[in-house]
Amino acid sequence: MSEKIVKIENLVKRYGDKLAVDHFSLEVEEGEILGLLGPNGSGKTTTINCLLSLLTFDKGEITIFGEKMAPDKYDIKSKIGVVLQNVAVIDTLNVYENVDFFCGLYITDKTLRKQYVEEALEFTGLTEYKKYKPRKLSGGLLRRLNIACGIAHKPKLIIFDEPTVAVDPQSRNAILEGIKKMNKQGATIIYTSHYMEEVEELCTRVVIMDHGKNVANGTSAELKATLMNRETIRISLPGKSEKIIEGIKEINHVYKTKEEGDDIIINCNGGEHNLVHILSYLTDNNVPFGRVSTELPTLNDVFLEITGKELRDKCS
Amino acid sequence: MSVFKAIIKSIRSNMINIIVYFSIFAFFGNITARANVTTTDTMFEEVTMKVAVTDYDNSNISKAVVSYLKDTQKVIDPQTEDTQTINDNVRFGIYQYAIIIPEGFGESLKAGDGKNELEYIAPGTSASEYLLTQKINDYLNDIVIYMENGYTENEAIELTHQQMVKLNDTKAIVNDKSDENHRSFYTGMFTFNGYSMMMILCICVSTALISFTKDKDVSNRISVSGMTFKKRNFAIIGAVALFGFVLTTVVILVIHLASGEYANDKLIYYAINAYVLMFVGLGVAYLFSTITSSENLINMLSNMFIISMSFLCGVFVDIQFLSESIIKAAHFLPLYWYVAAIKFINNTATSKIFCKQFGMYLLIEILFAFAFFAAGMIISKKKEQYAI
Amino acid sequence: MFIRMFFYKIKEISRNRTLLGWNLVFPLVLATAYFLGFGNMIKDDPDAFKTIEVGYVNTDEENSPFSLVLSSLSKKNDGIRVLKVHKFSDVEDAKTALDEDEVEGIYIEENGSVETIVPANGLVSTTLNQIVREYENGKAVIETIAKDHPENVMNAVKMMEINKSVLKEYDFGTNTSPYLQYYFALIAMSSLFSSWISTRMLEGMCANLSENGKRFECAPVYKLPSIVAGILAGVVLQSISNGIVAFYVEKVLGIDFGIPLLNVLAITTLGSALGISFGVLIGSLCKNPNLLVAIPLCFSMTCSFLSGLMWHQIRQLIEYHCPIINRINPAALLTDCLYVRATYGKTEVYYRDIFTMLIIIAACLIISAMFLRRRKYVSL
Repeated sequence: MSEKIVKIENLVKRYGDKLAVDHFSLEVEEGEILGLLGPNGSGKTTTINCLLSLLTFDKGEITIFGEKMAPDKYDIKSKIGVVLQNVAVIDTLNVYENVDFFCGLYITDKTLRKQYVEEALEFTGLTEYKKYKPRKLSGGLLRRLNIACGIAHKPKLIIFDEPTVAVDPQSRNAILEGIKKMNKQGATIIYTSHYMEEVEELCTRVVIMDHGKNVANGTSAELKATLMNRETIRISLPGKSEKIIEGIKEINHVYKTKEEGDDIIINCNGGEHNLVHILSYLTDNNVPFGRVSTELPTLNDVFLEITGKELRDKCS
Repeated sequence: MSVFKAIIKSIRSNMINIIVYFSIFAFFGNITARANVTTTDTMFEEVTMKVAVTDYDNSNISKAVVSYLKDTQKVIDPQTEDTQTINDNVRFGIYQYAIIIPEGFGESLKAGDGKNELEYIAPGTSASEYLLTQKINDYLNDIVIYMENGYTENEAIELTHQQMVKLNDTKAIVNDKSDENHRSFYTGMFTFNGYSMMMILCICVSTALISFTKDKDVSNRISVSGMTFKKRNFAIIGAVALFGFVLTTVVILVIHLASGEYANDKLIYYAINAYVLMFVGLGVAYLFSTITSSENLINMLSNMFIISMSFLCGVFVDIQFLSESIIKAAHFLPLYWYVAAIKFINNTATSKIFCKQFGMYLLIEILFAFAFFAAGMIISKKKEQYAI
Repeated sequence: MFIRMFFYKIKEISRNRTLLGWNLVFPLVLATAYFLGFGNMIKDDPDAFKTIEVGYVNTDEENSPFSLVLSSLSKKNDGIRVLKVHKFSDVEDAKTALDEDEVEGIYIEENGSVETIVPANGLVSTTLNQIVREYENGKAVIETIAKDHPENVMNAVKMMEINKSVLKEYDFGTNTSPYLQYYFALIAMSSLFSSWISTRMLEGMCANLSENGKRFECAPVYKLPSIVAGILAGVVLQSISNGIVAFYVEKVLGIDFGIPLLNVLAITTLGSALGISFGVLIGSLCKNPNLLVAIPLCFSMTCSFLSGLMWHQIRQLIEYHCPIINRINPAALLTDCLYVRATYGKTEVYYRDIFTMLIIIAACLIISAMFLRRRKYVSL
């Protein structure tokens, strides 16, 4: 069995009367890429801040690399890399100096540091910009510099807090590829994001947080399997009648239908050849049909199903 | 209306700056104006000085000197025995003169051995030092002469005292005809206002103006809004002008209320000059707002430009102390003309103020205001052209 | 790590244009403005006695006693020439000269009495009147003695002619201009501005103040040595900046502080340390990033103002009425230290100022260290 890199047990954090993290537990195994999802205000960033000992907490225990985490646990800290949500670089230092400065907080050996810094710059594609000051960089490059500063010291555990916000698709791809590469090289990764397709593509396991609680935990497929709706089929049926719709509802696994103009939307809760069965039924009854499409559920559906669809952003 | 309101709100967010500079103006402007005010007199009056006296002798003669000083000057307690502190107090004008009467001074004076001489501390070789030293020396010499020539100590002191009282009748005739020799309270306050009002206008108006431009997205959002360029700029100009007008009016009212007994009938002319300076202030503020969109830089620029200009144009230091080359250079600065107009109002009889010369001063100030506006417009246009 | 942090902080601060503007360019500009405004007043005392131009109309005999008094006052005595006499034959001519500001007053001697005409009350008119009073006083003394003790008249006249001085000026050695106070206050202001350097530095090291701070606190480094490295870097840079200002004032503007330049540098270095430690204290106590700029600015400006930045007499006024403020105001301590050193040399007060500054530095750093240690966990 793989080693537990991070273990959070029954974490509780209150801000006054507000419960930000409510008995949250989490385990991250070595070599995993864990996606931590949740709506705004669900407690993700608070959890990460507690994990990094930037924040005190009211109850619970956090263990990293088998040791209890505390602000003065410098040996643990030296193995962690953080890529924060907001860009955290020093304006007056150039790209190279920024990476060198932050890497220097971990690596004291000058030669090794030089090598690491150059590797990080190459890894993030910033080598040709190394003399640039941060304010001269575009949004995507700045994000990449933010990443380079967090990972240059080759940490074993890297925490990414929404690293791809406001980044163009090309840069995003590069960042995601980079993260995969780091993972292959042995880094364990905790990744938070609002982009479900990213998480689906990248993460080996997903944890969904809501109201400070761990509300879902599993691989992407496992989570999707928990949904009632497993397939959505849309068929253009200009000549549909009540009788036909009732007939469709009788087909195995169909649990709901909805009319939208000429179209009919059919939800199925299982089965493997739902479309074939429906089209056979229509052909058998001589019902003419037009365009046909089918959609499998996404992580987005899982997320909305679990966390609900109401807006979350509130003033604190 | 929304742009108008937003500008007024931005200006209001600078309340701390407004309060700080206004307090400096109301407090220190008032103090300096009061300290320097002189009025036309027809009666001769002696200048009296604050003299700190330390008497270690307590002899009849020392007491007589102290009593003489009390009669003719304002005697105060030095509040310290430390001569260095006394010296500092004299140098920095807490009192203008200090005397230390050493023990045995009276006896030494009578004996004429010059052992325990009366010591004085004065600010360098100044006119006041000369005058008072002369007075005390004469007084003591008179006593000595009487004592040496057949009078007792008490008789000598009494005679000298009587003489000094009698001498008070010797008075110069004051032929005071013009205001030129005097600096009115209004002149003092309005001159100081050259610094404080310019500072408030520059900092508050510039920062309010850049509130629309410092964030590119906000600026773009306003640009793409339905409000026309003309309407928007009218609203901005209206808000800024309203603030300038209110500020200047408050300044004038405060000066008038503070003037009390020093009020005269020239206020309206000083007020016109202040309103004209308001345009200069707004012009400079506009120029600064086009140069940079950083509040910090605006603060720095305003401080550097206005403090320097105030020193060069006779706001902090009277123009008579400035060297000729500096005065020539100051002609190219608007505050110089503001101060020149104030001096003109001060020195001219009320009925004669409204003349070509006064108009010229105001016109030059207005031209400066235009020059600043024009420079600001050119910069902003160039910036737009080259998308800086 | 310490040395690396020190050099990186030097790089970071020295490239910050805002800090450079406020801490170096602003004092240089202000120093230039002071120089242009009253530089000549430092070199030549504006209050120095100026010879009074006086008109004199004498309708009596040519060598009247008063005319002898005037001619004796027209000669240089103890480096002072009191009067420059312009003789007029006609009263009207003299009055015209007075109206045209050619003379500052007129004496008209007629039938043994002297009349003084002045354009306005003031020091000049009081001095001119005093000369007449002295003359009449002399006459009165001789007349009194002649009446009571006629045998002593000659002796009295002789004594009067000698007019022995019975006063002596207290000698303090050097006499620096009070206007230098502006420059001393300027150096104090620039030193206190360095408090920004340290608040900015702490901002970058505390997780509750900035994103960089979060990154810093996640790293396996001890905070205190890093802060000390930052403090040292700040002191070095501010000292260099103060040194440039002092050098500029002394060598470029040609205003002599009356203190050896090395001594100025030593005192200003202490001042820089004072400003930096105040900044550390503010940074460790204050949790609002917006206030980290506002508090040092208000603090520096208020302290500098009270030490004489805009009104050179204010520090002495406080010294006279409420000296305790000057003992705790860091800008006043630094200004006083420079002033005392320039005027009186290394006196007890000079060492007292230095000692007080050292105590304030130590107190600020100790209190800050206590607060920073207690804040092991931050509250974001």
